[in-house]
Amino acid sequence: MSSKPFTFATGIYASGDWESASLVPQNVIDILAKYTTLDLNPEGVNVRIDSPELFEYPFLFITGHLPVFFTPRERANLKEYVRRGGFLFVDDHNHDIDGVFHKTMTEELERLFGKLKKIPNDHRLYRAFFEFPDGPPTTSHELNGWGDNLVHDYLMGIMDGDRIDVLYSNKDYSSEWHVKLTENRDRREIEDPAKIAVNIIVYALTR
Amino acid sequence: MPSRAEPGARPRARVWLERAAHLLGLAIIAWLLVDSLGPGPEAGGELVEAGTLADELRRWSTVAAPGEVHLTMDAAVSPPYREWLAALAAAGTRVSWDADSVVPLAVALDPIPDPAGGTRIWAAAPPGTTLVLEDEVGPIDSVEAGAAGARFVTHTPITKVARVRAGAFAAASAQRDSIVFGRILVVGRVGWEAGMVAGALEERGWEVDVKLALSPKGDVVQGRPAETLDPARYSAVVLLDSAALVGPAQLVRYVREGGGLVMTARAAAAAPLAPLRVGRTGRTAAPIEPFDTTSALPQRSLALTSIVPAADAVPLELRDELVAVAARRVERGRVAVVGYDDTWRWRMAGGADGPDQHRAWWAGLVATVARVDRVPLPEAGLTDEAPLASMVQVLGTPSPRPMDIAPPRSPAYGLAFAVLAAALLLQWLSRRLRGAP
Repeated sequence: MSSKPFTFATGIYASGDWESASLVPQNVIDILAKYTTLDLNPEGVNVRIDSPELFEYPFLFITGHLPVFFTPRERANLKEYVRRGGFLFVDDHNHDIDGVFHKTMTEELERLFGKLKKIPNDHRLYRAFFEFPDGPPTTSHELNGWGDNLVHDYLMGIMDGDRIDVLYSNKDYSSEWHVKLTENRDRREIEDPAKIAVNIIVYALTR
Repeated sequence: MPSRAEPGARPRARVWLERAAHLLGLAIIAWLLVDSLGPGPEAGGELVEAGTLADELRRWSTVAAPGEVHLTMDAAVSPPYREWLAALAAAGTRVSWDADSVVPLAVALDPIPDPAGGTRIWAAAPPGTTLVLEDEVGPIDSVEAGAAGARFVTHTPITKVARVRAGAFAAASAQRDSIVFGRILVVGRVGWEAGMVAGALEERGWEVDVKLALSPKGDVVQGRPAETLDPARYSAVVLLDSAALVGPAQLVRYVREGGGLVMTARAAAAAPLAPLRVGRTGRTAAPIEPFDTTSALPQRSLALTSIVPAADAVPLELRDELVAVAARRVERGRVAVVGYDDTWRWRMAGGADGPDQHRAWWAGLVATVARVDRVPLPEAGLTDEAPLASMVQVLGTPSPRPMDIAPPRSPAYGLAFAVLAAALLLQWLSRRLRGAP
């Protein structure tokens, strides 16, 4: 009997547009297969965050553009999910700190878990597999003036000491991972965002 | 028949009362006479019970020691009085004892090799005996002894003397030493199982090093893993997948030198680890999805590769008729093999108590094999681990009461004398009041 492979789970929530980056799971799985020997589920899953099935997937990815208002059941499940050791990664698909997703999602997260903190750029997250000595890599959207036209040079998190339980990104990695990596793009432009995906998953598995 | 009004009725009743008092007095005198002709205590021989032993010992030590003493041990005799009796015997008094009603008890305390603390208390007692564990504050727990005695587990360490009591008898002991913990090394592949097992052990208080395979270009290393596996550094190794990252030969040597190893049935199947095998793999059971959080045995929802233990292995956990965990000793070390896969599901999907149960289960498993150093503790107080055995050691085997030592005079003697005196006084007074001679 073999153990269960890593499954990339995307959270379905009642409000907003949870499915806005539907190609992310497959692309991230491809990235992981390219760089690691992780035992991978070739298919991602979409799981309702108010369901008991959520607890079968210790890695949960949530993204979107639209305002987010969790239901009481979603809130309770997410809180319990993190308490039991689940890793929640939320990425703002807008890349905009004035955007509605950012405002409503951070409000929801802080309501559940307390204040989001800046993750220092020398955190183990940035050394979990690839080295990112300057912290999170930039995205093409940041460099091209998309969204708020800012380069967000840090990620945020809900921390338990040094350990990240909830990772929050304003960088819109969703857009990077949503496009086909085989598209005719500058390799350097997509390589670092791809590699940080490996770090995030490896960190979640080994924190 | 005379009526109450008849003048002769009252004097006749009085005469009968006087005769009855007279007869009662004579009967008591006769009983005292007969009893005094029976075998009495030999001069210099005394019978004593546990409850009065302390007073008698003081008397014997300050006035005059008897020639012979027989102790009927109807309650516990504390070690100082036991030694006092032994000193009396050494000084020339013949000391014997019997213990027909004594419950043979023995107790030992052992610190649990778990950073969260706790003490295991092992008690030997006849099957069916109700045993109560208590400390200086009061009772802690109770249990009925089985065929192999009884075991108590406390989650906080017992730092002073603890007693296991069976009725009036008790055995007392204290922890002799404390534990110095080494580190834990978790070896395997990057995945939820490795991450959550390492996390659970860290949460429990272990210092954990991690070596996990991730890619041909690099592995995940956390903590301060040493190049050489040394039992002096690592209390236990948890092997979840391949042993390639530490080297199977080194792992075998580590265990033989006294290290503790927990490994999955999957990892144990590797040919180079054959010297460490606990048995062969048996039937498999598929996981239950979603996790059954209502089951009294949460592990039931986990995938299982059962173990058929070798002859010298011990099953530690059963799931129905299948062996889920087994262990054996390999030279100076110990190995436990776990048949469960993906125990992380217990923590994540096993309900609100899942994280605590998963953490405690893994800590308990590691504690069964962990090698730890022990440091002697100062004396915690007066102990008496095996009272009956100690009595035998100090005073010899129990024996029936010698025939020439009679039991002490019954307290009924005093009562009989009082009744006798009252009866004679009553008779005398009655006769004087009615003017009889």
